[in-house]
This record gives sequence, C-alpha cells and structure tokens, in this order.
Amino acid sequence: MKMPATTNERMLMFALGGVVGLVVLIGGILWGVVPLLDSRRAMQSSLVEIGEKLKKAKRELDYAPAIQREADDAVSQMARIRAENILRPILGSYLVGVSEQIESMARSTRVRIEEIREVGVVNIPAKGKNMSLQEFKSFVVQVNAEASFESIFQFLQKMEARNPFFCVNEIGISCQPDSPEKQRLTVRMEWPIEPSTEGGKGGGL
Amino acid sequence: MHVNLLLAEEQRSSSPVSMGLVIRLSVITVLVLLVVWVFSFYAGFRALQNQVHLVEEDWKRTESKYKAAVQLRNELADRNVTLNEITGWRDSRIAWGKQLESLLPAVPAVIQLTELRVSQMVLSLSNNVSARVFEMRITGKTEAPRSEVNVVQFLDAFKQPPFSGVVESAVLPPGAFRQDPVVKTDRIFEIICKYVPRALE
Repeated sequence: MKMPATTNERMLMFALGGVVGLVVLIGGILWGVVPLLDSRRAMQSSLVEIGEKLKKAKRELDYAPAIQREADDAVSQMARIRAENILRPILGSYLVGVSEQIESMARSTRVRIEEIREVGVVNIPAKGKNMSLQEFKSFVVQVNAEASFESIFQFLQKMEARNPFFCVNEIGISCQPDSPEKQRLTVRMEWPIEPSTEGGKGGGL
Repeated sequence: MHVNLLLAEEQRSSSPVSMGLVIRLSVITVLVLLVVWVFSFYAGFRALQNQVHLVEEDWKRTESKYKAAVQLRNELADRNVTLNEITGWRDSRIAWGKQLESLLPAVPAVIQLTELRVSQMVLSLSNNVSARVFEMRITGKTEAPRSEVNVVQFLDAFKQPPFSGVVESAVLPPGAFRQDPVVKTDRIFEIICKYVPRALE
C-alpha cells in the first residue's frame, strides 16, 4: 500500500486508523474481555462456595462414625426401654397385665387388694410448657387396698423396683379406728404406654 | 547563505532513531504485551475451569455421603428428644415406697399418724420447663402434754436426711394444730410438705 503523499493525508489516515483501532478495542473489551472476566469471577466465587461446602461436609463426615455410634446407642437404649419398661397390652387390654403385676406384688407383701379400677390413658407432660410427649402416654389405674403401713411401703417399693418408669402420683393412707394395725390405701399408679405402635385401647374390660 | 532544496515531506530527521521506528516498536511492544496477557489470561482461565471442575466432581462424590451424615445427625436428634422425654419423665418421679419407709423412724413414738395424702401437680418453672410438684399432707395426733414439742420435733425431721434433699418446705399451716374434738386431752395437727419441683428434663 502506498502512503499518502501529503502530511495532512497521512495524519488523516492515522487518525482514521486510530478510530477504527479504538472501536475494535472497545468492541473486543465489551464482547470478549468483560464476559470472560465475569465468567472468571463467577468461577472463582463458585470455587469458594463449593470449597466451603466441601470443608463443611468433610467436617460432618469426620464426626459421622461417632454420630453413628451415638445413634446406635440411642436406638438400643430406646429398644431396651420399649422391651422392658413400656407397658404392652394383652389382647388389647392394658388392665389385664397391670392387674397381674399388682396382685402378684400385693400377695408377696401381704396387701389385700379390694379394687383395681382403670382411670384411663392420659397424656404424659413434656418439658415444654403445656406440652405432652408425642410418642408416649400413660395408663392410669387406681388401687384400693388394705394393709399395714409396713406392707404398703414394701408393696410400693417392689412395684417401683420392678419398673423404673412406673410412677405413683397420688396416695391416700388413712387409719381405721376399729383396726389400728391396718390402713386403708388408695393409690393412683401409672405406666408409660406407646399407643401409636400398638393400636391398643386403653382399657379392655 | 543556506539554500534548502528539499521539500518539507522530503526532509528526514538527523536522529539515528526515526519517529517511524519508535512508532513501529511501540506498536510491536503493545501487541506482544497483549498477546502475552491474552495467553496468560487464557492459561489462568483454563486452570480455573479445571479447578472448578475438580471441586465439582469432588462435591458430587461427597454430597450423597454428606446428606446421609446430616440425615443421621437429624435422626439422632429426634431419637435423643424421645429418649430424653421418656427418661425425663422417669427421673422426675419420687420413689414413694422409700419415702414412706423413711417416714416411719422419723415419727416420734408419741405421735400417731391418722392420715397421709400425696398429690401431684404439673407446673411450669420460671425457665418455662414443666415440672412435677408433689405435696404430702400428714395428719396425726399426740397427747396434750409436750404436744407442741413433739410436733416441732416431727417437723424438724423433714429438714434432716433423707428428706432434706427432696422436701422444699414442711409447715404447720395456721389453725392446723388444735384440740382433738373427740379426745379432749389430745392435740391434732396437719403438716404440709412441699417437695422440690422435679423438672421433666
């Protein structure tokens, strides 16, 4: 290409070249460099984000064996409680099993049982205010009996030792003027039950 | 006299480095720098892409294990809630067989108990935790001489072990110590024992 002969024409050509170059440069920056920089920024933030998630996940996975052991322990504890301490219905009746327990303990402690009356199934209060346990309820009976004071506490001790989840929530002991060695006993007892897994009814008789 | 026969556009600089050379060198330097920057940017970009790809792959491998671990932790929390609730209920009971047995030696020989009542209420403590609160009402009688001393002695028994740790207060409410309407020489009394609230936790 032949250069223009005059200085003015050369200047004009350089200026034109400069303008075209500037337009190409701006176009290149806008459509080439800026998207690439945005993409790089997005990748960097994605890298940081995934890195954080990985760090958190690896920390969680480090604890996983201990959590698994703890979960296994909780499951076995709960299974033991369910097997040994939660009252099970016999043919849909909780009262049958409860009456057997009470009468057996009463015989061995010389307590004369007069009546075992079913009160029903009630909610077990939970830690939170006005809340009750979700999975468990309690089966309540009232026992009327007659025995010496010594027999009464022995009877209650045996009942309590048999099942640590068994609770006595009301007691009435009154002496009888015509027979001072015997006391009249009214006691309200409760056992935890798990109605959701058993589908059993509270009472049965 | 100095005669210049060259036209202005035919004149050349006497400098060994011409303006054209400076412009060409500048353009070449800028182009080289641009090319170097483009390559280094591209190399960095590709390295970043690879790094992102690697951590994404790592995350894909880890994610399912992580989700399982989180689920396990949540299940453990649920199980612990159930376990704590039922054991909290167990631990909030009072072993009344033992309490009644302990009461026997605490009653002075000159006092005859006529009635004993235990009742339970569920109350909310100041920290909004529910608690079982037990109350024991004991009614008895004693002979008039030294009756006051005998009853105070019985009351004091609730400040001693094994009651001191579980009984919050043992009081004789106003009007609860009076003459027996049947046997005038005897005094009857009522003691109210409030047990320490047993939180359900």
